[in-house]
Amino acid sequence: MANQQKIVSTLKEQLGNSNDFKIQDIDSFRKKIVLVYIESLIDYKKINKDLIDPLLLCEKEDKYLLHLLSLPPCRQLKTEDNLLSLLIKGNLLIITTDFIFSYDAKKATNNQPGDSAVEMAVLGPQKALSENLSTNINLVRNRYPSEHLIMEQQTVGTMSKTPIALMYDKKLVDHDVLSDVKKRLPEIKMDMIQAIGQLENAMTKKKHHLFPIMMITERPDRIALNLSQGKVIILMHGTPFALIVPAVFFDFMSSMDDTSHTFWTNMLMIGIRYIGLLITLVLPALYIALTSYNPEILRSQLAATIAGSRAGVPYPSFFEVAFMMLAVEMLVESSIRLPKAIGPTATTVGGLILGQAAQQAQLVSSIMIIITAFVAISNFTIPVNPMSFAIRVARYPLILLASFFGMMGVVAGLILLICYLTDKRSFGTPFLRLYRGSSRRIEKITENPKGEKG
Amino acid sequence: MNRKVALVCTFAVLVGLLTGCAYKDIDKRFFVTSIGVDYSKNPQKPYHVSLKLAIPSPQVQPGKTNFQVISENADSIAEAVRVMKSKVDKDFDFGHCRVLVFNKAILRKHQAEVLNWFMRRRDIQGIAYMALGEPTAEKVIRVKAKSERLPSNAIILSFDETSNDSPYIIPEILNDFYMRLREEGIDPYLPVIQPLKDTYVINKVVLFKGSRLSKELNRDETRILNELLNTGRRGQINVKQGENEFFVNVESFNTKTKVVIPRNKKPYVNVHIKIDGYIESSDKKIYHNYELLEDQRLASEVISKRVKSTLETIQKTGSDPLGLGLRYQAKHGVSEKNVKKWNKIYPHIHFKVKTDLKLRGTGIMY
Repeated sequence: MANQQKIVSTLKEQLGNSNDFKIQDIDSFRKKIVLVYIESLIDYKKINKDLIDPLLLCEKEDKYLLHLLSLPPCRQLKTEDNLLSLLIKGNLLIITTDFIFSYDAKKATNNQPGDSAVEMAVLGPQKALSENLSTNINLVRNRYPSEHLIMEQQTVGTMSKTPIALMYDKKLVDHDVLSDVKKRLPEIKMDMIQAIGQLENAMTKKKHHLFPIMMITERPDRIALNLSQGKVIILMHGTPFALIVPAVFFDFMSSMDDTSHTFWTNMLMIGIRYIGLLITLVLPALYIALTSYNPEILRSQLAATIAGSRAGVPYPSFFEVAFMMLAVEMLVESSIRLPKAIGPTATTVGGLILGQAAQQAQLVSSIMIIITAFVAISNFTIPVNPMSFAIRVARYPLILLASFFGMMGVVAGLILLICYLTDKRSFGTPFLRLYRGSSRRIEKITENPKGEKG
Repeated sequence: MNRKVALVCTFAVLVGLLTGCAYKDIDKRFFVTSIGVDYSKNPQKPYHVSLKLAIPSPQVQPGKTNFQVISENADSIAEAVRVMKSKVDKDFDFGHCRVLVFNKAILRKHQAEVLNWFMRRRDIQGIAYMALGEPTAEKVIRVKAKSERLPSNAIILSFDETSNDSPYIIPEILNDFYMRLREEGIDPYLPVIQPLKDTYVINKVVLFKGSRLSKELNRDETRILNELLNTGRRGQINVKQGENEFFVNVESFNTKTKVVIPRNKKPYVNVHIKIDGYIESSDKKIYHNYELLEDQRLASEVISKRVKSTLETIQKTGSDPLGLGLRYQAKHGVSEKNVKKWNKIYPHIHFKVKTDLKLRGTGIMY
C-alpha cells in the first residue's frame, strides 16, 4: 500500500505541473487501484471498453488481473522499467497494491491514408501513405504479402525519438546495402528528426551533395515494387513518406504509371521525360552559347530573328537568362507554399503578365520568354520531385560555363556532370546503373533471385 | 565559419563593383549574308569587295528584307574587309555567309588569290554557294527580291534542291569548287546569276578549263549538263520532230557514264541514260499504245542526239566538268604519264549515247 502511494507521488512530482496529467483512484475489491495517464495521449473509448467495463463486471480481483494480462497491449511491469517514458509514449499505468501494469491506449492520430498528392498516377492506385507508422506498415504488408518480409523497429533522434520501421524482403534484399543502412542509422546524431528528408540527409555521408541517393515516395505501390526489387524501405512515424534505399538515377525517371501503359505509349512517355530532362538542363546554357559565342550553328533565318528580337535588349544574354530564370524560380518557389486560393493568381501575375511585360519593355527578348517557359514546363516532366529539384540546380553551373566558354563550356559541363554522376554511389550501387523496366524486372527476380547470389 | 561567410559576402559585393568586358552578343554582330568580288579596273587595288549586311528585325515578313551593301576597293579581300569594318557600327560575322559571287574579270585575273581567302577563313562555310555575277557581282548582291524574307535568302532557296528543282540551275558549293579546281581530271563550273528588276535569273553555267575560265553554256546545254551530273533536278524535255511536238515530264532521270578504252580500238565514252516519265503536252492525239511507243522511240533518239552534241560542245572547250579524266585515272592509276595520256585522248574521244526512255502514259486525261 505504501509502495503504491510512493510511486504515485514520485510521478506527481515529476509531471505535476502538467495539466493533462491525470491520476484516477478507483476503489474496488476493497482495495485501491490507481490509473495514471496523460490525458491528451489517451483514447478514452478504448479504456472504457477494455479497463473500466470489465472492472465493474468482475467479482474478484484475480479474475480482473487475468483479464488485464489477456489483453494484447497490456503487460505487467518490472521494477526497472521507466514509468515516465512509458507514460509519455501514451501508456496508461494501472497501479494496484502489488503490481503495476502498463496498457497501450495511445490515441491513433492521422492514421487515414490520404490521396497521393506529390506523386500522382493517372491509372495507378490513388491512395498514399498515412502519417501513422502502424497504418503504413499495415498498408505495406497488405501490398506485399510475403512471409519473407521483415520489419524491424527502431527510433531515431535523441530528443524526438521518432519511431522508424525498416522493411525488406529477406530473400531478395542486397545484404551489403542492408548492413550499411543498419550501420548508419545508429550513427545519426540529431535531436529532432521529423521529416523523412531530414533522415535522408543525416544518412548521407557527404555534406554537400546535389543528387538524392535515396528515393522519397508516398506511394505504397512503389514501396511494394521496390521491396520486390530487393530494396530496403524505411518508414517513419509522423510522415506520409518512405525512404527507398538504394536508388539509382533511372529510378527517379520512372513513374508508377509506366507499368500500366501499353508498350508504345510507355516508350513515348519515357522518351518525353528524357527529352524534358535534357531541355531543362541545357536550353538556357545553349541560348547563351548560341547568341553570344557561336551564332553560326543556328539557321540563318533563326539567327536573324534572334538578333532582331535581342536588338533592343540592353544587357548581355547572360543577364537576360539570369533574370528570367530568377523570375521562374521565384514563381515556382512561391506557388509551392501559397495557399490554394491565391496560387492561381500568383501564377497568372507572374507567368503571363511578367513575361509579357518584360518582353514588351525590351528587358528580355521574345525568344527568351519561349525558352523560359519551355525550361519550366519540361522540368515538371521529371516524375520524382527531389530529382526535379536537383536538375533545377544543376543547370546553373552549365549557364555559368556557357557564359564564359560558349558551346565548348556547355559540352564540357555536360561531360563533367556525367563524370560526377558516374562517380556517385548510392549505398554501394553505382548511381548511373542501367535498370530494365520495372515490370520485367519482377519476372526476372522470380527466375533468378538476387538473395541467392549473396 | 562566420569569418568565411563575411569574407564571401564582401567579395560578392566587391565583384559587383568591378568593371568587365561586354559580350559580343548576337545583336552586336553584323551578319554578312553574301559577298561579291569584282574587278575594280585599278591594277593597284584590283579587288572591289561588296558585303551584303543583314539588318535583323524581330518580325520576318516576305518582301520586308532589310539590308545594307557596302563596297571597298583594296589590294586584297582581307584588306578590303578590314577597311570596311570602319564603315559600320558592328563587327562582321561571316558565319551566315552562304552566297559568294564573283565577276568574270576577277576570276580571269586573280582566281587563285580570290579563293585563298575564302578557303582559309574559319567562319566561311564550306557549303557556301558560289556563283558568277553578270555583269558584276555587286549588281547581283544589290538585288532585292520581292519574295525575300531575309537578305540573300532567295538565292539560297533557288540553289537549294528542296525548294527549287529547276533543271537550269546547277548549284556549286565552295568545297566542291575547290576540289574540282585542285583535282586533276575534273574541272569546276559556276552558275551564272543575272540580276533583273525585282529578281534575278539563273539559267546558265560557265565552265572552267583547269583553273582558267572557259566557255559559257547556253540554257539547254546547261540543262543537259545538269542531267548528266545526276543532280536529281528534274524538268520537262521537249521533243520536236517535223510537225510533231510533245513534252515529256521527267519523273526520274538517271545517267551512267563510263570511259571505255578497248584494246587496239579507239577509246570512247559510253553514256547510258534512263528516263521515266509521261507525256505532259502533245500536239498530236495519241489513241493507241503503238503511237506512244513510237513517241518513245522518237524522243529517245532526240535526247541522245542532244546529249551527244552537248558533250561534244563541252569537249571542244577542253573542260571536263563530268570528271571523265577522274574515271580514267580510277582505272589506269594516277600518274603524270596517265594524266598526260588522258589529256591527249580527251579532245578526240568519241561519245556513244544510249537513251532508255520509258513513257508511263499520256498523263491523266478524262
